[in-house]
Amino acid sequence: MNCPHCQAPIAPSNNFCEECGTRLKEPAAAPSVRNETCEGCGAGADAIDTDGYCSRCGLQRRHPERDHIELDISPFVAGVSDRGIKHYRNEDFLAAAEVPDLMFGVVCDGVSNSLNADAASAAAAPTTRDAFLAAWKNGAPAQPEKALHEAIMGAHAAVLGASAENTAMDDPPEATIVAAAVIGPKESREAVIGWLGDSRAYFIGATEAKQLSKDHSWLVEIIEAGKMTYAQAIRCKGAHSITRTLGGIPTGDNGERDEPSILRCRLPGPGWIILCSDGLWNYATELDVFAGLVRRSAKTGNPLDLARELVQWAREQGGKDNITVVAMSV
Amino acid sequence: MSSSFTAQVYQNQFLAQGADEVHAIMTVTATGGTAAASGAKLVFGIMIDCSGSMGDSDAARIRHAKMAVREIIKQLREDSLFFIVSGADLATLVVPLLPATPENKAVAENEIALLQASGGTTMSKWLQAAAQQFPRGDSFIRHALLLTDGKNNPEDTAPLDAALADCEGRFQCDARGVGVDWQPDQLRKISTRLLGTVDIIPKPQDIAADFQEILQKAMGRAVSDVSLRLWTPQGSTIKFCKQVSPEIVDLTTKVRIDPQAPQIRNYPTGAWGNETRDYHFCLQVKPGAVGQRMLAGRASLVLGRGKSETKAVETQILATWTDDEARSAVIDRRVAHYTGQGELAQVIQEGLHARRQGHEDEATRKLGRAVQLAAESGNDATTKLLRKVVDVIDEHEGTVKLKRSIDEADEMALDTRSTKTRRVKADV
Repeated sequence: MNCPHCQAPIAPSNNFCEECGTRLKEPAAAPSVRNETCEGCGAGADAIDTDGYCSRCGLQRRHPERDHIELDISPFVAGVSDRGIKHYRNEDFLAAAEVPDLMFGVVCDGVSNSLNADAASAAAAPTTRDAFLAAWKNGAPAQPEKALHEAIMGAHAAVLGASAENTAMDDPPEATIVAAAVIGPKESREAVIGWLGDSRAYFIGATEAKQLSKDHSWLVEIIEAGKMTYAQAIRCKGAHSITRTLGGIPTGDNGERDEPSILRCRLPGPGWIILCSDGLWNYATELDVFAGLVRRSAKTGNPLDLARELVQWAREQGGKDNITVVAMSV
Repeated sequence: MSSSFTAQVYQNQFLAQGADEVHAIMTVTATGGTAAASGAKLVFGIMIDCSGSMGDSDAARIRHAKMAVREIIKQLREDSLFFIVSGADLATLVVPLLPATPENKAVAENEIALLQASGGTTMSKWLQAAAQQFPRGDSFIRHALLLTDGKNNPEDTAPLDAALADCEGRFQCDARGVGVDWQPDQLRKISTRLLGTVDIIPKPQDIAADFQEILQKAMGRAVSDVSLRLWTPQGSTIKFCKQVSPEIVDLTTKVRIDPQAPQIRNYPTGAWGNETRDYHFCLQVKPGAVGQRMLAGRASLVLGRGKSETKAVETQILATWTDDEARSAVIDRRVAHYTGQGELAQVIQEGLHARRQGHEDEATRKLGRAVQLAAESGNDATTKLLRKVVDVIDEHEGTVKLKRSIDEADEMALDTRSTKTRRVKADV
């Protein structure tokens, strides 16, 4: 048996994956046999070729195990990733960890125009987490911003390497990323946030709310540059198109990769660090709406319950995109 | 070394929600093949028009045709076989199928010298006579050459169709018309059905050079009876399957279906030398949901038939449905290019037809469009031919004036060469 999340081998008796902390679904709740038949025409597993294509109807099998992933790391850190309703597969992915004086979470959203968007996000999230944890190994690094920057830069290669099933005609795989390291003891916590693209990080306290990341999108950049107002820019076609990603086609002449934005800040008080893909925030673009939603959904104080509530809420709004949330109680 | 094939598919696999048409261009290149290595023997058949008109105007046509045939017989490799049919109202087997030994070549030379021009033109008989000479099997490269200077007997239309049906798959045939008294449509039908080329030889003294080229190409062929195979998902149809380079050959109706394997379609492509050809497929599939990906087709090249068949190369044609219009609206540049080349051939043929019918407005419009398409795609050879038929006012706008008097040979050259395409610019 392997972990559905990180593929690490696991003993049948384990309730959690020792590698990534994924809660392994209770046998009763999960189908006992993975559905290997074709979802297009119902052909048996023997009709599916090695590339995952059905030899009868041609449809490619998606990864049903990724339809809904729950990460239950600790009473403080958890996450949920969900296919949503409209999309055929889940191209988001997440990873998280908690060790003394460190909570770490990362959310990646595969960019749909690359065929291996799902593989891209699945490679990027654990790679980033593992690289940061490796830098943390002997206690907090002197420069956690630099460690996070390096971890994200390293994920570029992971994304591009995720193209095993790529054919020459495909664009290189691409994904967004947002990662947060909450460091230090409870009384003096700081957050280090790094991101590429439009997956977001928020701090939501009882009264205070802040969007920590700033989307790498055409919309944000055109407003920042003072060329248009929000009202003008939002009406433009492709306003939400993202301007920086992991992987993809190199932006520089010498194959340079997009540089992540890194932010380090002191946390104003107790509350939640929420990392999410646009499948959630697109339904709550106003900060006060988003903050209200998080506060309402956090009744139990448990991060997994909060993540589940937020995902469920986004599904109820239409679930137009994949929805992924990592919640950290700070 | 025997031929090795490589193939590459070019397409935009992103389709809008509900879209069901998948276009793809496949480029196939064969390298390293020689007839000696593959053991395939060339069988070269010659059908030479000996009707009365070949003896007109100082008998220039029959004289040059005889010289040209003599010349290529000389050049045949000794391990090949050949035969000669002289065609008129009936077909005469002047030289039956013989190995190309020096002795047999000498026999042929005598027979060629005795050929005389008289009688009419019944091409079905010529083709039937040739078909009987060709041995069967893919250990032979079976190639023929048909030369005429006139129109086929009008009563021979149905028999010609029947003869072509009989010849399909038995040999390939290049058709050539000398002078301007023959009909491009008739020869194009022969060459298209028999996977060959068609062209005009305006002057009799150029027959030898043209034959030379045909023989060289035939001798360069290393592997016979290559099929293009398309696998498609259940519930899909193949709207068309065309060779689009070096010239357009619509293979759609040449399909062979094995009832035991209904998802597989086979199309004959004839013999291959060391060369590159492009194919254009249009598949209609059952649309998937947004985010779904489908294997819309597998295209492969298959050598031989039946039990001895081997798959030389295989590629995939994909379809991925997306709600991102920026992705689905893109047309692959090769697909666009060859769609344009197909339209170019069509508007030339329709434009010339309209011109012959006296519909000057339509002819001007169609040939104007042709000038525009040829310029856009950089098809300089066709541009040159078009400029002999029309005066170009604005190449990019496609505005032209029909020339008042044109050389009939130029018009026929434009007609017969309309299907010759140019490859995508960066690839040439």
